[in-house]
Amino acid sequence: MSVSNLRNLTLFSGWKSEIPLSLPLLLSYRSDRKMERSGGGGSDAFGSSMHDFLERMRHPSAADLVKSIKSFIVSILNKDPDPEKDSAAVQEFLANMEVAFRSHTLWVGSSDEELESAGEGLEKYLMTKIYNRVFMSLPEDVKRDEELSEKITLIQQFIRPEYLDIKPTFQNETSWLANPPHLHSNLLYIQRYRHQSRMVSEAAYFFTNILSAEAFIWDIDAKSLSMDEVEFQHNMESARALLLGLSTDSVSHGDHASEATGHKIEPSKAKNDTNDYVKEQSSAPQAFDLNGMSQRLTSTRTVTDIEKQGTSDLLKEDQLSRYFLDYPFLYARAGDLTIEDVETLLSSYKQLVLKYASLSKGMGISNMPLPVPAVQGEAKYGTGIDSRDLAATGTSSEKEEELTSTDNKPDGNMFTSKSEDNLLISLGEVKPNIPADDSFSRPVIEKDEAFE
Amino acid sequence: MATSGSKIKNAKLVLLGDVGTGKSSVVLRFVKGQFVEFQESTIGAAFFSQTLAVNDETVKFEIWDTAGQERYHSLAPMYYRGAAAAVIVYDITNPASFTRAKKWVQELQAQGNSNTVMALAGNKADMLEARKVSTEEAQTYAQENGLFFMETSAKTAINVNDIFYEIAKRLLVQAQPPPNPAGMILTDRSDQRSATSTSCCS
Repeated sequence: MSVSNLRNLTLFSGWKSEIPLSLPLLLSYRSDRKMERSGGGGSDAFGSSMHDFLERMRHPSAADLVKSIKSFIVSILNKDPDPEKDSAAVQEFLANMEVAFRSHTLWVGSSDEELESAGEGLEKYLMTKIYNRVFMSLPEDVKRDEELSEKITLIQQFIRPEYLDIKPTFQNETSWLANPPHLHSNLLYIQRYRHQSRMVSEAAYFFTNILSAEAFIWDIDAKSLSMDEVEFQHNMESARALLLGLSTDSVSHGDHASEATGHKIEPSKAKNDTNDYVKEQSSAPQAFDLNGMSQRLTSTRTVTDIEKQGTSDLLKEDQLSRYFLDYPFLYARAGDLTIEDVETLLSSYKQLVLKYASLSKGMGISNMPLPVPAVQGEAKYGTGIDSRDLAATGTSSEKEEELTSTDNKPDGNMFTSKSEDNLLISLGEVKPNIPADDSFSRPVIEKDEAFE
Repeated sequence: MATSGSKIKNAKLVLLGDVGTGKSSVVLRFVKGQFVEFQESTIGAAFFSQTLAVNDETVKFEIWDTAGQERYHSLAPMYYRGAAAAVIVYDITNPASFTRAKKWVQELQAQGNSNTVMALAGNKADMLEARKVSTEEAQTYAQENGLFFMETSAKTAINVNDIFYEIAKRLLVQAQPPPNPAGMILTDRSDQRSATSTSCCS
């Protein structure tokens, strides 16, 4: 499947949940950062460092710094991406600028903490400007993202916490079903561009944890799951068959699917009774079987119903426009679609069904309506809630508090356009030659998320 | 980074050893002064920090605990990379864990930084009646391989602080001459956190 398809159907936009080993780590990481910054400005210390940095950059005496920053940004944007060189250049630039800050009149009499904050502000500003150029810049990285995502999807069909000695406190099914988009690219991005002077100590530990989780997933085999080799192979094959089954069956049955539902899922492993069930009720209700888990989905809700509910759910969110960008078909009418859309739509649909089935399985929900393409936004909405539940598990009350306050922020995943605009005004026009909406289709681990 | 006030040497310390040897218990004893009889196995977050004053200097240990399960073994290099010190733990009542410890030593000698201070800890030293690995055997092995060795008990606290104190001393001695710029992990960093704060996430 193509990258653009993956982007369009991203259910887990941003890092609302992590792969198993990592989630509690990132949470404790956050609370630690907060402790470290006690007195440094509440829950949004990073945001304030950015704000503070920008304020200083507006000062006339900052002209020389602004010039260096602008020209560095231009230098990165004006050449072909080369992660190795680019990351070395960024690291060096950040280090040099921090030295420059120390001896600059703007920071005379400033504490180490203020200088640290300025460094953070610069890093955030700089990466905001160049991330379109440096994130997912190589086709091979993008390919690795897809491979990793597929591997996670396969393994998720049969893995159990017990296989990995996961403590009961961390055994929340939802975490098993996380498949953060572009995980590999996100990790590379952090590795390459997070200023190394700050990627130390506890931050380094937690980052290592998530890197090791990725490495573990790449290399996962029967032995690493304490599973019989034959059983492992069987599980992998079943998982593959399920994925393939989704594509072949939905294609072959596509022609007699009713207009209201559009598609039908009939995985190769479906049990006989499920098959019968599908045959009997070939129009609205649908059923499918996920690796032995039989789910009977009996709702007769129409697409219109679902769209309605999805709309009302989404309207509660204040970044409605984002859903239109992430899910371009969400409010499309049949007449709007072109033949070219069919492939994308079908691929989106399969992904969605798979994730939906996995999520439903994880949440222990057995009677949910089968998703149709229009339900994307709704499913996403539900996912946010899950990760909150998950986050509360196995963390101390202090960490829960931290998480809650973080979660209440309207949106941690997207760039805040306000600060971007300010930046452009204050530092002049330094625009990457990238379409403006591109950032919306690239879920990225934002600095706020990663390092606060 | 220049800093006013007393300097703190940050030192990354990694714990390695077979599952169930008491790595986490040793750390918890050292960092929190606690012992839990049935400590759950370590999966996921296990980062601690603890400062130790040695004479007029301070070492801040950044302790990276690891999961001992064999399934996670291949991930270990990511954890011990760049460590200033490693504590390899075995269980004196479990010969297999001693064999495993020797493998860790070999691996570190082959892969790790030659400046890494390595300590061998024969844990559960309170369980004398169940001892299967003799002190002499471990002592000899340690000498032959340039490690320092102590038998520890996280339960009774025997030698737990001592082993970390000894590591801190060695790190400071090592840091006296200008360290090899290529590979030393001891760094001076300003640190705003209180000197004895601990942090744990498991």
